[in-house]
Amino acid sequence: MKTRITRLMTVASVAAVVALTVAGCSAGGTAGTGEKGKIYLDLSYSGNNWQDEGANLAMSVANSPEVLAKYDVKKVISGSDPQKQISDLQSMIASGAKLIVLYPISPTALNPVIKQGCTAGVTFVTYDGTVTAPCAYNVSYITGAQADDPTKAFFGAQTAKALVELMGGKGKVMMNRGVAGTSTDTVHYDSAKAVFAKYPGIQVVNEYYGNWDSSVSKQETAKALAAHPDVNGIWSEAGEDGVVKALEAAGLKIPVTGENSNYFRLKLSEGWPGVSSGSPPASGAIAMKVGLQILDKGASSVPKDIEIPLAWVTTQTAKVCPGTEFVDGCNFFKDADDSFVTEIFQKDLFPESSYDAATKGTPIVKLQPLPDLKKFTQPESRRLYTRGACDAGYKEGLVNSGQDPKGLNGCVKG
Amino acid sequence: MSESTVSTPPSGAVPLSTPPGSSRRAAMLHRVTQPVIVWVLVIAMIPLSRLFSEHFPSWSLINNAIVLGLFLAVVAFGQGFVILSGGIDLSVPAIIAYGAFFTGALSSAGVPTVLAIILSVAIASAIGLINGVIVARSTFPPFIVTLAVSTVASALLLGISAGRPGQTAPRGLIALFNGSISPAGIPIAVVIFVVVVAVGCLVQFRTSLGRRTYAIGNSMRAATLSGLRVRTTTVLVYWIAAVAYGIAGVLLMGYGSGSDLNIGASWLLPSIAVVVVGGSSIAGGSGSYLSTVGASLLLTILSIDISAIGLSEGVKQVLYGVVILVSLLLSKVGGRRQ
Repeated sequence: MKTRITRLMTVASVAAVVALTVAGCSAGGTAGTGEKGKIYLDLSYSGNNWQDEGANLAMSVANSPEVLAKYDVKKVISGSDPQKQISDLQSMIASGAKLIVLYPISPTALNPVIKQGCTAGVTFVTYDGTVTAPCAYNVSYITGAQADDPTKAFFGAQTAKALVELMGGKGKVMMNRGVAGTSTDTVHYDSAKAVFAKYPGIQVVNEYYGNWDSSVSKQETAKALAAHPDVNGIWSEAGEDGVVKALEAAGLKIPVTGENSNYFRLKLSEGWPGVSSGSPPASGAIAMKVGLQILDKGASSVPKDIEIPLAWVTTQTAKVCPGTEFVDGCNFFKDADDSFVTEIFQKDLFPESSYDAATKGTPIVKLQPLPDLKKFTQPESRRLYTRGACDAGYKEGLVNSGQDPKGLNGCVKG
Repeated sequence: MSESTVSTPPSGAVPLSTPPGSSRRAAMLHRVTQPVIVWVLVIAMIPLSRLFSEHFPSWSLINNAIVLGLFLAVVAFGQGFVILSGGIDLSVPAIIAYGAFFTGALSSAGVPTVLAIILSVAIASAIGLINGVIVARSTFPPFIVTLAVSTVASALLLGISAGRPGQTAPRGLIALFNGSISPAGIPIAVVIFVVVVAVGCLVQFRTSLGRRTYAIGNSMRAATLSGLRVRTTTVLVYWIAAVAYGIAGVLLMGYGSGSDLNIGASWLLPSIAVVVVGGSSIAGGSGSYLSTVGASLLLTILSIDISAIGLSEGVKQVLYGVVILVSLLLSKVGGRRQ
């Protein structure tokens, strides 16, 4: 009796699974011909300020009235496992997606599914991270240059140079890296080391991984400071607010370069020596706008490789905003969390941003059209870092002209 | 007396070759000597750290070891208690995240700091209660139960927070760790550390719950047969462990003055490592919180030392793993000799 019931239950559950799968597939199959096109935002991990703001800003664009009139918009969280992101992308393609804006977990692992999607007519736009699949559009600051001088490229190199200058060209440096093994960390680190190597008076005494997290960065910095109380400067990726807090707890005030946390900029405005630069969450919204323009005006209206200029805020220029807008050159907020990432505006590409859009995803009422993006095209010499290879007509080599620092690996004509 | 020895049930786990009296004495000895071995190592490590940096040993080293070791010691109290009862708890990261998140969220919403902390620990500890009830009522292995519960809990937290982390920590909490309060020149974090160790030892050695936990961990069957309320004890063990993780979350919130939702992720494996390095049996029934605290300090000092020599991250991790293995071997050899 018991076994018969078990067997019945097995048959029933198998039938249910089959029915559900069939229903799921047919729903996926017909959705593509629905009246509204589908747009997806696929983010990686959720739960830190950067990812949260990037996703909120992208959704604030996607949920604006003019976009909602034409498209259905969905947000999917893929976590930190590439396999999960691949299967999420597959189901988006199967459901008839027109546009997928994504934070890619891996620069290479997603390539097969992206190729498959491109063939099916899906447009892929990545933000912050990049993918090497040629049919996808990359929107990233990783190789970006300073807004006033496009030859001064790479976050890692530019902040390293600024740190050396703040230290008067000599002294001991510690480096707070990001997440070990990620391509972003490698680009930042390698370009920074290339700069430090040019100054014989600079000695890198310790390197550690803060995982782009302020709490971990504070712990690791505190450990390293115990061993090197005589350090003269710290070069940091995201998590620099933790670095500054560890220095404060140890009673040290030395130059720090890092990314865009609200606390760091507050300290800069109070006279802490340093530079704030690096990854802007605004890139989520910019990628969404780029994707929408491709749907609207066609693929030829947009370059494949878009480089967002580096933010650059120093002790002299850090200035608190009276309200929730970037006005009169202000660049951080009075009431934001310490690790809130301040770069939510981009003056050319996303001036219509708002603090509410970044913190709550409040829809943007009126989207501004993107300017001519030619100015934001990544130079061919830096493609190696985001595409994993050089364009046709270029080959791998040391870039010695048109870029400062000279001698970094890249693509040269020939 | 002799009759009862003869009629030992066939499933009994008492090793026949050892007279019961001497094995109990050995266990008692082990319980006393284990903390001594670990603490001797801790004290030896302080001058030995000179090998890693010319700036060591220093007050800064000891201060950092205590502050960073505090989080580990609090988390490991919970994990150690669960392991003592014969279980294991994989929900550490999720519960730490609850403690940290709600402290920030509630105090940002205007709830007074102390009340916010109490409420957060209460909310966080509810997850432990669920763990305990399922472990006590089912025959599923604790690691599966705690893994499943913590997966659900993390997903719920992601939903509740809408992905938004890191409210600013209340000022009073931040002040605990930024060096601004130090009565009689002693940093307040050190005072907290001493209080934590005292309370932890009190719960483990001086309460009936502590003694019942040892009994369950030694033999669930014997404990049941002797009329112990096994289920109630199990529920309480997981609940108290979750209270500890929740408090660790609150402390970490103060230390980092804000928190990502994955703030607890890096504490799970170290929490198990220090319990085992401290000489507790991973199968339950034996161990001392005093040794666990010593092991927390030992591993923290080691990680500071390893950080000081500036090796690449891969080598650091390898070294850290090797050190855990070696101290395990040492504690086993030390234990056997008794």
